[in-house]
Amino acid sequence: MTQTYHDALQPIVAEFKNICPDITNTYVFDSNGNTVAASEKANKEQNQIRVVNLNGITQANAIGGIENLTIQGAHSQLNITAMNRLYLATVASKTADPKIIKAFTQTIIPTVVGLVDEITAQPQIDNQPPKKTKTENKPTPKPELPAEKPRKVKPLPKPQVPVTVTFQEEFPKATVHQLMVEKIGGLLVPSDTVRVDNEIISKWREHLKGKLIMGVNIETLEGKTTICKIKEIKNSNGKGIIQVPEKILQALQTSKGKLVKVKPIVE
Amino acid sequence: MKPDQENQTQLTEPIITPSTDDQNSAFTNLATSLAEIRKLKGVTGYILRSDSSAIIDLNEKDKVIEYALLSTEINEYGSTVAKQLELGDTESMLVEGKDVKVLTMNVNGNRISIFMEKTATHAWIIKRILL
Repeated sequence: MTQTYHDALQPIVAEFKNICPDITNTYVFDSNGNTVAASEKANKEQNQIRVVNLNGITQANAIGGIENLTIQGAHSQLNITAMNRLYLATVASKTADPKIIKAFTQTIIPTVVGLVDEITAQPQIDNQPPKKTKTENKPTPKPELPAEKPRKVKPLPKPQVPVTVTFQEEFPKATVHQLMVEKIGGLLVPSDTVRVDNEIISKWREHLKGKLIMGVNIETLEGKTTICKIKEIKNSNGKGIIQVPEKILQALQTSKGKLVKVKPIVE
Repeated sequence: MKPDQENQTQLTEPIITPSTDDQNSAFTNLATSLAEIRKLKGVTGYILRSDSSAIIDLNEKDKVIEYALLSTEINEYGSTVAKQLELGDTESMLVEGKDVKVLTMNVNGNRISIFMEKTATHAWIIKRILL
């Protein structure tokens, strides 16, 4: 278990000095004072771990146990954080950024320790072969040992919320068209309806096997989307374009000549 | 930013051991400061000790001995660690437990331990004591 913690924490501890040079020493140790991980300089000064060990504070229960301890010295500071069965001790210069110290001591390392605890808490399969009982008279052939012993993994729990299908189903990519925007206006032009070439609408109907097209989803290259009704362009000069009223242009924050992706919305 | 001061409701009677050194003005000044700090929201008590006298003022009277021992252990621990790790003179120590945190300081030979709820602001208290 200690090796697992070491493997997970040592790279982070070693790297953190590069991120924050103000942190001069870092140790992770257990309640017995055994080193789990340490920065390069700290590794050479093993006796310091015995010094920072909190076993000397026997009355810690008076305040519910020690979760965090900070000593502010004239030119350096020591911070010790308790993380379940481990302790993290950090020595930093007085001018170190307290936010970085806090992020390191109270977020990053404790999170990694928590993850290791969670992962190692997974139950493992008993790989011992079943013992032969006395009632078995017939000699059974020796079972072949598998090359890899599988680990029993708990099945994921079924989701509590049933998955519902929205009215907009997944459609084949062939139904998505990239069209150039053309602005339309006028008193008789509805502000919530775009116009697309009839050929495209026919292709959609073909791909979607006759399903009713309720409208279209228009997406700009910047990621803005909107849903609106659709009509066909009556004349034959509508190939490759989508005629969009002003209101929808404003909603999409796009303009004439820009490219948009258009896909049908079916019932 | 100064923490809000609650109206004084019921202050506990501090336990005072007589001082043989009437001239210890630093002790007296600290006692005055601590009496003010004692009124702050979240502060549950303090222990002030010099070589010859002590003042203990705690909400939880039944924890006097435990807190006094804890205060001593923290001070000793801090002295040892600061020396070994070359931290320099200890300005302050903050020990956070589950519900309570303890701020310990050493001012002119007088050892101070202030007990407070975890949500209490201790940074201002440090500044107040060092004034």
